[in-house]
Amino acid sequence: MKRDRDLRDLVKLYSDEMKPVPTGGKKLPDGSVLEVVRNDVTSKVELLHWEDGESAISAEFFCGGKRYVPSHEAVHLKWLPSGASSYLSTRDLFEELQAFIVLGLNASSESATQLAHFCLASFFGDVIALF
Amino acid sequence: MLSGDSMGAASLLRLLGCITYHALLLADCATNSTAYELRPTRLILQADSRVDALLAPLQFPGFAISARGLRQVSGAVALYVGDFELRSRHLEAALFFPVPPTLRFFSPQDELRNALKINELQNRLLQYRLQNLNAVMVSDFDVPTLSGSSRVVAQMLGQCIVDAPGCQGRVANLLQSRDEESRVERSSGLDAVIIEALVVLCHEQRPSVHLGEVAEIANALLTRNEEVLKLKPRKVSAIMKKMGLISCRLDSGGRGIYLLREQCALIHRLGSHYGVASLVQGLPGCPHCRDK
Repeated sequence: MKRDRDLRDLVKLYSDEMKPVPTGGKKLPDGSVLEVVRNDVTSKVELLHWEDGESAISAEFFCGGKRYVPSHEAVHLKWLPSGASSYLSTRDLFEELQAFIVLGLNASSESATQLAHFCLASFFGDVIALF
Repeated sequence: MLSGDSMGAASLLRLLGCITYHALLLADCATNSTAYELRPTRLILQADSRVDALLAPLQFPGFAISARGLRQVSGAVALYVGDFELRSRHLEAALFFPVPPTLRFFSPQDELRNALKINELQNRLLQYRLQNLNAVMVSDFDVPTLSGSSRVVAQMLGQCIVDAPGCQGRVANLLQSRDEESRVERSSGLDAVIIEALVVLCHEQRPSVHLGEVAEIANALLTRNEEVLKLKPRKVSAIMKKMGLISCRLDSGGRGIYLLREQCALIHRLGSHYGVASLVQGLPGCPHCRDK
């Protein structure tokens, strides 16, 4: 009888731990980071795991006894990266953003600079305040 | 915070939707329809009465709203205000962008045509985030030459630029004119006039001062500025309280404040903040003018 109860507790504990944890991106306790990405072949939303400059993409990730899966809501995001790729230098990336804004909106260089700052800062909305 | 041409604003928000983090194009300010765990960049085409209440939690990480439990909704937001009049005091920490009517229309077809480029940019921006998250978190970038909310906005934007001092330096230029405008605005407001009056009284080395006397000097300063408004002691008291200078009953002559060392130091600090003219040179021999 006690053995059955112990077994039930163990199964419950295991299933609780393995319950999927939806995430839209998260810094994990071990210092690695999860981000949602969209597979450019299947269009499915997946998770990118980043650790020490290396990235791996998968439908789910296990960390600290938890099973992370992409948030269902991520399908509503029209644009998601398909992975992480080299930006050469911050200056190159910034100039690329400016060029995209100037070309897309015929905006002045000053406006493009201001908007490029906003775009870059939006990627750190969880650590800085921006409005 | 976008103002100006509405078509231009829609176009601009659509383009920002391509190159910001987890962008959501929204037609209103509801937060309950937005997945909190995505920490989206909210690109809102229409301001409404809900914005005033939402400005603080959207703007400041850590301040939650009560919506089926406590929710963190902070994140980047671009909001087209149009003709809607926002009242929140938190508005001053926003970055303002007047949308010119000359912007080219960025259509859904443009988005499709640029899909490859957008995907490349998203991938590079993601790598930038991942590589620099820790550096941004510990960044102490600052532009001490700017003041008030301009300085805060400069800090926020500059902290996100890693390993590019040129780009980081340009943040100060972007905010220079806004800073000058807000300095002028601050120095000509009632708060500034009352502080200027208190600075005069500090320099007279008075141990205490009645509200009526502060009002008298403030009114003289207002007349100098060709204002017809006359401040009453009660109004002076309310403005002083807002700035941390709380009056008390001094004697049979009524309420006022003691000008102890601590109060004089605060008055001088406030004077610097409001750009009080007499503090630019400072009074020789005044310890607070020297320390400010």
